[in-house]
Amino acid sequence: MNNFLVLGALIFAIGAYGVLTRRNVVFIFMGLEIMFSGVGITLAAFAQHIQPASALGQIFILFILTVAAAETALGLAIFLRLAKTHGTVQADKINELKG
Amino acid sequence: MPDFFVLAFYAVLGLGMAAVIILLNWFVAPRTLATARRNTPYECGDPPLGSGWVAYHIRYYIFALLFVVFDVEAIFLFSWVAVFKTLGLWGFIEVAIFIVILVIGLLYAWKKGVLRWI
Amino acid sequence: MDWWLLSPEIIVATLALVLLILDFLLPAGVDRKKMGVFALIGLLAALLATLDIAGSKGQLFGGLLAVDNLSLFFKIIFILAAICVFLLAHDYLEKVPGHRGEFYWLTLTALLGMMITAASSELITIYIGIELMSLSFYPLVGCLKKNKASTEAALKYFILGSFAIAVWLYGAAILYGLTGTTDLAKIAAGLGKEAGPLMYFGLFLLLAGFGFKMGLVPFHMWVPDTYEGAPTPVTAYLAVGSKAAGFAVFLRLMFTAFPALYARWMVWLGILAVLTMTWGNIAALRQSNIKRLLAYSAIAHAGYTLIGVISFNATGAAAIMFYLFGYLFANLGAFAVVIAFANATGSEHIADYAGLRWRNPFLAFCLALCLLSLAGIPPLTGFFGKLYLFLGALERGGWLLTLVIIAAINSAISLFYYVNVIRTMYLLPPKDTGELKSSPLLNFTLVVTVAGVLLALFYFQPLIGALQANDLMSAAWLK
Repeated sequence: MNNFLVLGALIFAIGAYGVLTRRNVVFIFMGLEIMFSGVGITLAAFAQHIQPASALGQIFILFILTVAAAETALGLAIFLRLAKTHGTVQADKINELKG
Repeated sequence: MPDFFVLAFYAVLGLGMAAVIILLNWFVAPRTLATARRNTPYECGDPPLGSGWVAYHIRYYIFALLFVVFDVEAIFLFSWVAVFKTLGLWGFIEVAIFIVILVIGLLYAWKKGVLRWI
Repeated sequence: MDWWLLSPEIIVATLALVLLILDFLLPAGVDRKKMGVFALIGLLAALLATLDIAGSKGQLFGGLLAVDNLSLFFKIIFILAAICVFLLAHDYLEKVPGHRGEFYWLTLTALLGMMITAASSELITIYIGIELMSLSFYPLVGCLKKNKASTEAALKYFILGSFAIAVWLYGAAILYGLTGTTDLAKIAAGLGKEAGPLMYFGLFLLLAGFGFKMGLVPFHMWVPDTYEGAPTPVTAYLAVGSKAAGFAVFLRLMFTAFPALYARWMVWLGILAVLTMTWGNIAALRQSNIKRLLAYSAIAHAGYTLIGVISFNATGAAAIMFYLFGYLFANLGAFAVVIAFANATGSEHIADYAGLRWRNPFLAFCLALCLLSLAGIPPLTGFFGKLYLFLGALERGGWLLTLVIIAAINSAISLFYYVNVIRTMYLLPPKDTGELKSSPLLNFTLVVTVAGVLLALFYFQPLIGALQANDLMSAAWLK
């Protein structure tokens, strides 16, 4: 189970790295999805190890999967809107608002 | 374990089939000189227009977007089917509510003209 | 299971679906404002249903949702916020091109998400609630379709929000792995007295996720940009609803699941609180856009509110609820004036507010009152809220005294920028002397919010008394 936990952590970290370093919005979305997958693997490993008889961990994964899908759809919608208004999908070129 | 042999058999079969077809093609095909015309991509006999590296039309994304949501929501139906008998009528009503909400979403997309290919 | 206890959620969910159906059934020419009126009536029904079950206790769906004073109180806050947002949006939506039907039902689904978040006593339900709220907020923030700033705000909110929720989920996964349950009370039982580093790591990730929702400082980057770019009624809704939902669930999580680790997380939260209020106030000092100013002020207020969680006692929890109640009215009132001003002039710059006293005395007075309440000037709600937060911290004692002193200094700093706006309105000569009209509906909203800011003066004691009866407080581990 340790291997699976390490795998989950690695995938989560790869996704987080992608979100933080990529400049193209689509790649950022992909990074987010990878992070969710990492969480899913971690949950699956835990669920299998600590209570194989209970479905709790798997239910959690199902909800994460579906909500993440809805989230991706929404992200793509915002992405389309962005391409129309800004004419670019590079995150560093989008700077109307200065934080 | 035998299940895995079946799986491995089909995997090898699938790969082998692809390899055989490609090899056969290589043997059978007539050999001509590599001319400029020969190296162009095949587009139903017409000369190709533009580069192959075009951005997909934005409409594909909208379809993909709708597809992903409705496809993934089907997960809940699978898990419901697995325990259909234990949940009984009440479970059926709950899933019916769930599907009605999904259908409303689909109707909404339809009415907004997302499903129309212009 | 008592279905009546679920009636507010059922009403809001049905309302959202009916509005969604109405939106696509009505022909394009029909004015969507009628939907707003319909939604308002429905929300009043939901409010009445919530008030009807006030004081009752119960669990729904086998412990997924808890009905208690904490969740009911926050539900009332959310429904009030949604009602005010509909009132504020009525005139504002004139400017939004294209279909506006979405605005109404997205506001309602966000409300439903908040209500579920505040009531959930289990990790998966918390996740669903937060996501329902967030997924409704992303399109709301970007609903000015042609507006670059609005789209950009939605993008930033979306990316950072999803990142935060992913981090939160990883923390939740670790928590589940270590305790084998997602129920908050059972997590506390499975935790025991001491925890390993992995548990602290999980708790830290959960904190980061919630910190994002509440706008605490290292995780606050989205707040100013999103608040500025979003349509102003949505900004008001974000500032009040989203944040209150974050605090509601955070309060429940910390008080129910992690009492055993109190000694550790109180230090973390203390550092976060100091950073949050100091940075929020200092950054607010140099803002020239009123929405950005209110955004940084919202960050600073999240810092003050955090003190209530850190005090970890009955007074602290009651103080958070009372504070957010006062904050709701003061903030919505301030945003109402911002909307009225922007409707008339199209500007959001503080410099343009010069001489508002002569152009529209009512607006100037309301904004001044709301800002003073936010600053915590004595006879107003904001003052009593802060007082109660500080009392809770002093009850706990120890180094929380230092925290209270820092918060008091911060309140003094915040006075600078609040008073600066008031000075601009009351003392500086106007550039344009024409009278500034505001619609009757906005005036009505302002009367309601200002009444809220003032009334706490008279209902202060009974309200606190009712809050004290909260069942969070009767828990055995609270002394």
